[in-house]
Amino acid sequence: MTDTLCLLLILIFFAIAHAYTCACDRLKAKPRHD
Amino acid sequence: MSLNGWLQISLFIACILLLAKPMGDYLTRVFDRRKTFLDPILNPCERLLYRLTRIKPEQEMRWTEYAVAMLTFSAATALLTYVIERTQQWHGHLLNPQHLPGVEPALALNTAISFTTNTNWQSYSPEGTMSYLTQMLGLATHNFWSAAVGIALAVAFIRGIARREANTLGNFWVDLTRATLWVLVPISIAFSIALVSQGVIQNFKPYDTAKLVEQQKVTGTDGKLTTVTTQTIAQGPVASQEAIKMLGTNGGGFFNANSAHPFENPTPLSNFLQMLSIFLIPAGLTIMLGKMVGSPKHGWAVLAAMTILWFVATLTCYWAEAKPNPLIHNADQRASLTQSGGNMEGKEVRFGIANSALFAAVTTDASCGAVNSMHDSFTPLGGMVPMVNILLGEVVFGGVGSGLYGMLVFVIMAVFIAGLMVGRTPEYLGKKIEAYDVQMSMLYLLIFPFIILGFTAVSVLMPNLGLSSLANHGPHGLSEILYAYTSATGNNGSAFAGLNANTHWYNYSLTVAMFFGRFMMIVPMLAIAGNLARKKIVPASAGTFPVTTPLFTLLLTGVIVIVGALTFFPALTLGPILEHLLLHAGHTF
Repeated sequence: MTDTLCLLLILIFFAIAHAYTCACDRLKAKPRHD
Repeated sequence: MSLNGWLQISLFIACILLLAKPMGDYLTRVFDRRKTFLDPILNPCERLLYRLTRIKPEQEMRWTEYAVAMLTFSAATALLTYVIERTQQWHGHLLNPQHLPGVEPALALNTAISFTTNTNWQSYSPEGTMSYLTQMLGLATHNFWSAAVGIALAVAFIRGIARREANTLGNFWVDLTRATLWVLVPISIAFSIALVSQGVIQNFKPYDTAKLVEQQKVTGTDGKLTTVTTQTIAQGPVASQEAIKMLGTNGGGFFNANSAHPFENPTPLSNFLQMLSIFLIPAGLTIMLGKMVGSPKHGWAVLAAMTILWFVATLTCYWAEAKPNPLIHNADQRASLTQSGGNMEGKEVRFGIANSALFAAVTTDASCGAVNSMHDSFTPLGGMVPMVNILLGEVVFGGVGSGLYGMLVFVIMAVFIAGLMVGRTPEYLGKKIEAYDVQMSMLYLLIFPFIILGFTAVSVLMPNLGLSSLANHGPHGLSEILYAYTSATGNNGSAFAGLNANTHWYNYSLTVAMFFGRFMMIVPMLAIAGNLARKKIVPASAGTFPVTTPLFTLLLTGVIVIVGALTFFPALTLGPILEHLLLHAGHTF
C-alpha cells in the first residue's frame, strides 16, 4: 500500500510539473491588453 | 586567519580561473557538435545509443518539448531508483554483503527524488542503509544523469539567447548524451584514478571488524550504558562514486561523514582536487556562454561576478571560524605551529580551518552539498555563510548547469532594472526583454523563498511534526530547520546535523521542497529561453546597457545580493544573527 502511494506520488509530482509547463506556455499565447 | 590559509585559497581560485578557459572551449566544441579528441571513441557509442533508443539527433525541440523530455527522463529514473532501494534485500551477497534490508518507503521516496533533483540530501547513514548495488546503480548513476540534465538545460538556455527568430532550443536527448559521454564520464574516470592514488578506497569487500585498543562505554538511545569493544570498518566502491559526486555537484557521500571521512577524502591534495572539481564545469560553462552568444567578454563578466561573491563568502566564513570562541577564557586560542586556533569543533585536523571554510563556501556556492566539516558546528556567522550561499540561489558558480541558468535569470533581472533606471526597453545581447520574460523570471525567483519560508514556518508552528526531532532549541534550532529547507529547495544537500530529518514529516516535506525547488524553477527558465530564441536581434545603440563591463558585473552582483537579502534577512535575523549576538552575551544553544 505504501509503495503504491509513493510510486503514485512520484507520478503525481511529474504530472504537476507537466501541467505547469503547459500553463507557462499558455500564458505566452494569451493576448494581453496592456 | 593565516598566510598559509590565504595562500591555499589563492591557489585554489587561481587554478579555477586558469582552467575555466580550456574547459569552456572544450564544452563549446562538445555542444556545438564540433570535433574533439574523444570523437573516435565516443562517436560510435553515441550513434549506437541513438539507434537503440530510436532517437533522431537532428530533430530539434521547442522549449515545451524539451521540458517534457527532461521531465519524462527524470520521472523514469526516479521510479527506477525507488524500485532499486525497495528491493535491495534481493541484491545478492556480492552487491549487498551486509545483507541490508529494503529501504523504508518514505525514505526511499525521499532519496529517489533527492538524487533525481541533484540534491543528494541524505536522511540516512549510507553505509548502514544502502547496498553496494543501490549506491552504484541507484545513486551514482543519478549523479551522472542529474548533472547531465543540468548541463543540457544550461546549453538550451544559452541557445535561446544565441539564436534569432528560432522556435527550437536543440534536442534534449542529444545534449544529455553528449554531456554524459563527452564531459562527465571521461573526467570522472581520470578523477577517480587520481583519488585512488591518494588513498580513496574502491572494493566490494564486506565490512571489517576491528578490535578496539581501549574499550569504550557508550550510552545507548534507551539510556543504558554499554561497553563497546569492536568497531565496524565500512568500505566499498567509494572512488568511483566520489569523483562524480564532486564533479556533478551532487554531494551525496558514500559514508555518512561525507568528505570528512578518511576513505572518501584522505589527504589535503584529495581535498584540493575535490574542491577544484566542484567549480570546474560551472566555471567552464560561463566561458561557453560567452563563446556561444558571440561575446566572450560577457562570459568573463559573469565569471567575475561569481568570483566576487565567492570571495566574500570565503572571507566571511574563514574570518568567523578562525576567531577565538568568546566563551572560552584562560586558554590560548591563537593559531600557531602546534594548533589551528579558532573553532575546530566538527573540523578535520588534516584540513584545518582555512580548507574547511573554503570547502563550506565552495560546496554551497555550487549546489554540491558535500562537506569536509560539520556545518552545524560552525560559529553562528560561519554557519550563516553556507546558508546564505544557498539562499542567494546557488548562482555563484552554482550547480553544473543550474548555476549558470540561475545566474542568467539574475542577468535578465539586472538588465531589466538597468532599463527601468534609464527609461528604456531593456535589452540583453540584442534581445528585448519583455513582460513575459520578466513574469517568468519573477516566477523563478519567487518559488524559491515561498517553499523555504513556507515549510520552515509550518515546521516551527507544528511542534509534533517539526520540532520533535530537533536537537537544539532557540535560534540555533530555527537555523537547523531553515537550513534543511534551504538545502532541499536549493538542491544542495548539505545539512545542519542537529536535525534528524528521517521522520515522516521531514521525509515527505523535504521531498516536496526538493522536487518543486528543481522542476518548478526549470520550467519558467526554459520558457524564457524559448521566448528569447524567437526574438530578433536589435542592433546595439548608444542607449544599450553593455553586459561586458565592470559596471555590469557590479550591477549583477548587487541585484543578487539585494534580492537575497531582502527576501531572507528577517529569517536570518531570527536564526544565526540572533544566535551570534546571544553567544557574545554568554548564551549557547
